[in-house]
Amino acid sequence: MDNLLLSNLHVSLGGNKILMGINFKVRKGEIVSLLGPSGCGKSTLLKTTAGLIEPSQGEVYIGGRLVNRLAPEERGTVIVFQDLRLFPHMNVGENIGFGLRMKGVNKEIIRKNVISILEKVGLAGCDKSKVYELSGGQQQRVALARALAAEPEVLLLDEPFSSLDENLRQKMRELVIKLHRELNLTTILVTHDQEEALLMSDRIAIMLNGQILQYDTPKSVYENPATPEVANYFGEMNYIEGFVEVGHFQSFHNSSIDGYKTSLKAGKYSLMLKPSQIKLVKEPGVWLIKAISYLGDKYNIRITNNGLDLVIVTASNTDVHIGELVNIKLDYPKGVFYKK
Amino acid sequence: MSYSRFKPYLMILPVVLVMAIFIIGLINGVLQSFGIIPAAGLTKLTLSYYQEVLNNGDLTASLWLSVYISLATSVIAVVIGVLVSVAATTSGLVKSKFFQILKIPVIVPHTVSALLMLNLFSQSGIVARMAYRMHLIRGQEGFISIMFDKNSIGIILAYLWKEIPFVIMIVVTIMANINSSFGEAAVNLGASKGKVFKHITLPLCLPSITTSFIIIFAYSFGAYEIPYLLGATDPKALPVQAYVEFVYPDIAHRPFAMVLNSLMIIFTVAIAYIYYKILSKNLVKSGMSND
Amino acid sequence: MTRKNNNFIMRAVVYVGYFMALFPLLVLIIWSFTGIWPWPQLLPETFSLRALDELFGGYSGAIKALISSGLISAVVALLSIVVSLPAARAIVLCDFLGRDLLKFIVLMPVIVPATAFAMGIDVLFMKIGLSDTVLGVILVHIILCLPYTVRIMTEVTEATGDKLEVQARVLGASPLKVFTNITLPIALPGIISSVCMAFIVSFSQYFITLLIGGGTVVTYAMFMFPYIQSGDRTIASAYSVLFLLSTLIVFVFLDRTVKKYYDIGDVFYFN
Repeated sequence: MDNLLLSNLHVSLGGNKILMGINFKVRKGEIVSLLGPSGCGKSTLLKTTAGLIEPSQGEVYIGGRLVNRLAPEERGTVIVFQDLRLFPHMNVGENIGFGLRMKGVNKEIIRKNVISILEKVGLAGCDKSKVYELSGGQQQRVALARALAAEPEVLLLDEPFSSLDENLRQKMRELVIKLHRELNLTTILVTHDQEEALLMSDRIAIMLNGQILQYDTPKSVYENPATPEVANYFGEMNYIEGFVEVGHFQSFHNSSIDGYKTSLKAGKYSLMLKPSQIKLVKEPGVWLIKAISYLGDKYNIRITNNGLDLVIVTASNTDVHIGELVNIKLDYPKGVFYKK
Repeated sequence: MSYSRFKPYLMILPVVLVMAIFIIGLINGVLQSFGIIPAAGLTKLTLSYYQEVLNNGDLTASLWLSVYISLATSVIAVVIGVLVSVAATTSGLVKSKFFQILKIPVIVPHTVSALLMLNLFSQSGIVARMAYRMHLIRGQEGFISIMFDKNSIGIILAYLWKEIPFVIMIVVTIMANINSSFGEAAVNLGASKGKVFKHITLPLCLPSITTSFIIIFAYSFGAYEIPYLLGATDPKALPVQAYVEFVYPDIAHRPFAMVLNSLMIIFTVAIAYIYYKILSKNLVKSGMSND
Repeated sequence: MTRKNNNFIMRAVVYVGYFMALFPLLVLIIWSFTGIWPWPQLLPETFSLRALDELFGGYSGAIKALISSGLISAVVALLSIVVSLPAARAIVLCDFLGRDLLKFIVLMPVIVPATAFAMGIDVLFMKIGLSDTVLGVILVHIILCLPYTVRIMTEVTEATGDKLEVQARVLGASPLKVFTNITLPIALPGIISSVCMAFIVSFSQYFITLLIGGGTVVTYAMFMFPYIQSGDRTIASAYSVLFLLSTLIVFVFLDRTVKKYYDIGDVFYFN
């Protein structure tokens, strides 16, 4: 069942078209990511869903109801913002209980809810603390707890972890995943961090320039990116131009790249390979190593031959040097062919 | 947030209504200066009142007196105020809780300030008594009468007592902030403390300094209380003279008062407008947003 | 000049400033309790409570004027806030036609002489019946206070934006609840500042109250004025001291009340 449905959504801000014809569905209990670079419109999509921005065209359905005319406080969507926005004049407990208080829920019930949620996020006993007394990570958890306590139908997270350091970010991701499993709450996460999206989502929607380029499971998006733009989002990619003729792919580049038997139709193609899909063959060859970057347990190596630059990765216990000449082997089955 | 298109206009409506009364008051005054007073049967637009006023030596004397008073007050207030702010910032005293003492005069009304100056500087005032005790003068008459004199020293002193702290209040916080943040950056790049002040702090404080100058100038130009209490009989300051004309028994005399008022209005608005234009241009140039 | 000498001079300048601020007030207080203070003595020869008797005795009407002035200024301050707060929010958060013009016009009462404005509006007020009334006085006082209150509320709104309000709305608060639970409490320090500023401006007004209020509305400042004109330093000083004390009491009261009911900590922290 679709808990959220955006139909043909167009949004303009200050005369600029931000979202162009967005069609987007989220199933109940799903956790999906909106992934894309800054300015692609993902935050705008979130805010339009919540009712903070009015679309120039299109409909928003939440839980099956058309909510275009509903005010933000009536939609059942709650946003956790990147700058947290904890109310400074209320303590932790009052912040968390705010949503239920607005609904007019009984004070005793609110108190019990607050205590139970504080426990869930690992902040038991902090209900009377002042907001400014908490650490950054604690405040983050309060912001999350506050959103959950408001019992939303859809939870919207707008890049909530970008300002945290790596360690805290991991902990918060795990917390969100854990809570999601417990509460089965429909969640939309906006992020520009592809690792985060891959890790946390049931499905990922890649956005660029106000449109959704691909919306699929992490595995599909990562291994079968629909377009080069989608692929590029997950890292630097290698593109080898070539053509298919009589069931055989050959790169335009000279024959230092082997051919490949394929059932693709004839025509021009761009073969995309991830750096991990081109293997380094340590024998004297024709590919010159231009640069080596150390990344912990692997090397990023830039190689070149006859004007074509490629990026490959190899384990860091390999013995390689700049200026060395090596060979490569392409992992064709893993590559993606884009017809030109 | 999607506010309805009418909401902002509703929100500013009360202020707009109140300010409309203000604008109407000004326009009405200006109209009266051109001789349009229905209540007195005067309905023809004329410049004759302006001509008479500007040809009348007494009235133009009032004008120049007010210009002199406000210029002297604002220049001295700004110079001393900035100097004290500098002293407070560099000595670090700006952070002490006693520093609030310097802001006390801002809360005291101008009327009381006049009294304070009388207590101090009149011929029987405290300063005169001290001078006598120190054998600097030989009697009350020895102490120059500065209070109701032609040079309006009493008036200027009464203004200064309030306006110097006013300048300090406006300038010192910004000065302290700039000095610490940008000051650190500049010192890091090799500038001495003096150079930092001259090239960084002072220029960045200029908008605030200019703002306080304009406010003090405009206020001391058009205020009634202090020139009335401490002024010489002749010439009277412009606002005082305007009121004298205003309460003249014959209402047909009213336009003379309004001419003086209109001159005050035009003068102050022109200065404020010029200042506003210069300020926005400079802010855009320096890339700073003060709004 | 060594740095130490430099610092000494700086400190001296500031201390001289303290003296200049406080000494006249001290003299004022001494005068209030003076019986006879002949030339050329540095201190009064006799002290007397004559002024206290005059002020509080009940014949002069000073206390009555004080209380009614206080009330008028309180009303002026409150109304100024009520009018300024929505306007400030609109100026900062919304875009509307004439926004810059409004910002300029609101500042005009500080630039344009109040005397000119008062004399200009007098006839008009007579026509619409506001002359010689408390309402008329309150109205013109508000006009004079707006530049300060709008400015302060604008600064406060700029500092906090509407981020917290947006968060409250998505958490389920209606616009009215957002206003009472979030906007007002957060704006409170600014509101208190504005109230103090407006109260002072209104309480200190002489000329405009004289003109618009006729003889009917007599504020304490007007009451005090003739005494300052007169030669009786003792009474004049006493009236002045009472004026300053009243202002101080109002400020302290406001400050304490706020601190008691709200514990905001550092309001601009939420980032």
